[in-house]
Amino acid sequence: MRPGPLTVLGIVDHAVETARRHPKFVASTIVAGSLPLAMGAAAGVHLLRTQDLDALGTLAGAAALALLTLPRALGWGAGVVGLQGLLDDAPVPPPAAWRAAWARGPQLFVTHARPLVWSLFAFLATVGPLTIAGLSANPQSFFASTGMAIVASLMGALVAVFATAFVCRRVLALPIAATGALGASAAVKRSLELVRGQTIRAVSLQTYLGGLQLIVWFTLNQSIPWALEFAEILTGHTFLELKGALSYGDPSYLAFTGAIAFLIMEPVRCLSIGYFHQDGETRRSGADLKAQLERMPSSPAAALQPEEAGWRG
Amino acid sequence: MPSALSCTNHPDRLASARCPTCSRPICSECTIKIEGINVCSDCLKARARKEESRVRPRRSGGPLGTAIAVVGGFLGLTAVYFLYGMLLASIL
Repeated sequence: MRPGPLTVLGIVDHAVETARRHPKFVASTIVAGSLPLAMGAAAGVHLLRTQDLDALGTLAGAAALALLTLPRALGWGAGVVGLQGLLDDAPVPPPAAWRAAWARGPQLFVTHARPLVWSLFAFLATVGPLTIAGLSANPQSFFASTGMAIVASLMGALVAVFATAFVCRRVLALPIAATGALGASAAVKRSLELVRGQTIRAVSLQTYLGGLQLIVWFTLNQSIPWALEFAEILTGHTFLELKGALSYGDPSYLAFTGAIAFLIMEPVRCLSIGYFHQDGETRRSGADLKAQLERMPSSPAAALQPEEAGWRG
Repeated sequence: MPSALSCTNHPDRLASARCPTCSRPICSECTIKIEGINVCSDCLKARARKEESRVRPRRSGGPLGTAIAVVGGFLGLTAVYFLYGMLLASIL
């Protein structure tokens, strides 16, 4: 059954509840699809740190990650198809959802790749001015200047806001492509239509999900050393080497816990966007109907009184 | 045979009004009143279909367009991952 118009918190609540009620489905579609990319990215960070890769090696790694984005797009597609089945009271088993996603593989890959490229570029575009601001704010830096720090910070904030809004308005493209049989460009156009007037909600949803992911990541980073200390107390053994490696000082550890946090949040993220899509369709159809009625002649059609309708009974 | 007073959809029922769009006599059951405006259900359905076909975006292009888009997506992703790799390599 489809829920009515939802708030941002309502969307995330529904997504969490759906993931909780159908753990096998989300594990075998969304999480399974995202696993190769998450672990590939973490392994890439580890290799960059330990193997001193040259530009060609880094390029090969980047191409491998680009290929690993395909299963993520398919997994999300399968997840969204499954969500639609649940909302239509016609559950779709995971293999059927995968088949449906596979049949639209190229479209899903392109629809997924475009917002991903924009998001990553947007992050880089934000990091640039913020780095300048950081350098300018440091009194020992060659660039030290209060004016420059303020201007660069404002620039960074401005770029971040515009880039986030730009990406968030196109975020519904993947569920649209997966369930509406549209190409990438048409899906992006439809996403823009559905998010029209809802940009603040779209940005709030993505920011909320990003914040949740950071909380999960920090908790995970902290809980593993705590678990080791607890194990030391229980067993009497010391895990000095392990504790040294599994700490905030190790980028590989941070990358792998980041990948795990990413995987934990994947079902919530995918299903939230699926619910936001359904919510957008509901709101859009309501708005379209209202506009349609407003365009209709306001004369009493069926004034329910024969005399007023121009004829006598 | 339905009289002038009969509903178009229900000849055995007395019409209670006339649709402003198609001017056909209709009974109260065939009338939908939304936000103060009375609408004949058939005309509303027809308008909804017309509106839907007008706003529905175009479907995807041919296989060549899809292939170009896939290659473009792959190259775009490779480029952006490469940028991140170089950035991380300089930091780590």
